[in-house]
Amino acid sequence: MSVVEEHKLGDLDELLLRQVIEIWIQEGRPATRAFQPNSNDEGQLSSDRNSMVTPREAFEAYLAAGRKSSGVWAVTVGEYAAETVYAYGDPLPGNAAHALVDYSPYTAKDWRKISKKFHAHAVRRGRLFPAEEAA
Amino acid sequence: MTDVPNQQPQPEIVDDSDFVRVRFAGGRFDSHTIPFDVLPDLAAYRDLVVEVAKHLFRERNSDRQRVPKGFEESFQLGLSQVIQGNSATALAQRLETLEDQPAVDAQAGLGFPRYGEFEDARDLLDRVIAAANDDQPLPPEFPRELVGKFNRFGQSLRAGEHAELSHGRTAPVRYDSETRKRIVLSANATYENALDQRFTLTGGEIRSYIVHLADEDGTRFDLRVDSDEECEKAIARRRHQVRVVGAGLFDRQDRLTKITKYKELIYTDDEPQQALEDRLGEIARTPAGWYSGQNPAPDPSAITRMGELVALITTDAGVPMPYVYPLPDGSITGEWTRGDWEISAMVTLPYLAIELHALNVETDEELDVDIAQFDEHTLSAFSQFWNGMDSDTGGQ
Repeated sequence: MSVVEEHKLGDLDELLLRQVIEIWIQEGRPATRAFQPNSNDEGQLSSDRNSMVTPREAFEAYLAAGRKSSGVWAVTVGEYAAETVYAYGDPLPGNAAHALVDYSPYTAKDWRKISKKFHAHAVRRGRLFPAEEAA
Repeated sequence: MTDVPNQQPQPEIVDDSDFVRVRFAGGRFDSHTIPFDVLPDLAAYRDLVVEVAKHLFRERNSDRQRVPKGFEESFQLGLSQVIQGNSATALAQRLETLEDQPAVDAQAGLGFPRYGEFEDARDLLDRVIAAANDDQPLPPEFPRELVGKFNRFGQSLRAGEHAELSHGRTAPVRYDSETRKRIVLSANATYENALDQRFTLTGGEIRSYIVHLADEDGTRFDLRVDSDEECEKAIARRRHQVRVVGAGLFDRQDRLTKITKYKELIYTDDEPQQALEDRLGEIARTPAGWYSGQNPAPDPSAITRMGELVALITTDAGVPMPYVYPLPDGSITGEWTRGDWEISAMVTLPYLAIELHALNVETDEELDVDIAQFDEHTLSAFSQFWNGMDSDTGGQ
């Protein structure tokens, strides 16, 4: 378990990349729920550290591992921390960039609230990969 | 009804000392007040008088290339009175000048001679406006190069609103958007008018603060915004609808050719274009295990209930279409972004109760309403929830 102080991510500007499945994207807008852990995830949201992988690399590695994603959005370590939600490095075999965002101190009702904030940040930033249509 | 020119000035406002009386009527003026939005029009009128007076002075003094020092400053208009009647009338007087005052009181005035060109300019403007109303050529003594100055005068007048200009006991001349358009187009290919139009965001350039837009015909426009944050937000919302409130240049067919000024970029229409039944169909076809391998397929009853809810609130409450997504436990959620508000309506299992939740992401204000049953009270409960956001600047 990497949710310990020594693994806490300290660069508040670092983007944490989040893969979003197709059904959770409607006309380019991701679902708020994509920024909330599933109840089976012990309150921890998987992400990838942009200091270690690009959105494209994270996306391609995710698909190569047999999982599904239709786009990459991101929230910064600082945006999570502003809601006292902290991120931790959690390297996995084959994915050294893996990180966990720890929602576990909060109730599912709290998740509903704070995920709306994270969603707003991610949407404002836009989809990072695949790139949105050229201007 | 006030949309009728006053053929006879109101007795109480006949005062020969008024330089001009401007009676506003129709639309907003039926409330008998003059909105602050209209004040720039009065300033634009003053500027127009000054420019025409300068021209007249030069015409009459061909040996002089410039007007005398203090010429422009000698003409100051002050709003002397606003009269409420069946409309709203602004009375403007020339402020006192040196010649108007007793010698002992000279310092109280502006200290400039009183030039008659300003009254002559006012009278010429009346003739220009009257000619445009009659679809006649503008008076030849009116300088063509000043036609564009009418762009600013009357720009805030909306459809159904007009002004009447008069002074002394002259018959009023009516001035509205159509008059202004005719005058400006008599010497230009386009005229400037207020803009309040929907566009689709198509991208932008953050470094130059330029946002790219397309109108419903696909015609592209560039809009320069005030900050990189505004620009970034617009780029991130590519393909979404926005309302641009400002000013633009329009051609003779009233087609927008350029956006010249913007006051607001309003993300009112942040809703999907996809038909609800198509989206619900996609969700209904999503198989079990779509999220974690173990989770159920979206619940058919929840999908139906979401369809009923959305039909009700979009039809009867004018709420925009939500973005709709399945949730891992089989329930369904609809989502909206409305200004600073992030809003959700979740149809929960097993009883198909509706959980409404809204968060203002800037202020942390939260609204939380549960609707246990879908019945005749659902619409009012939803409307109360939705309107609860309007008390804040985040609502639109």
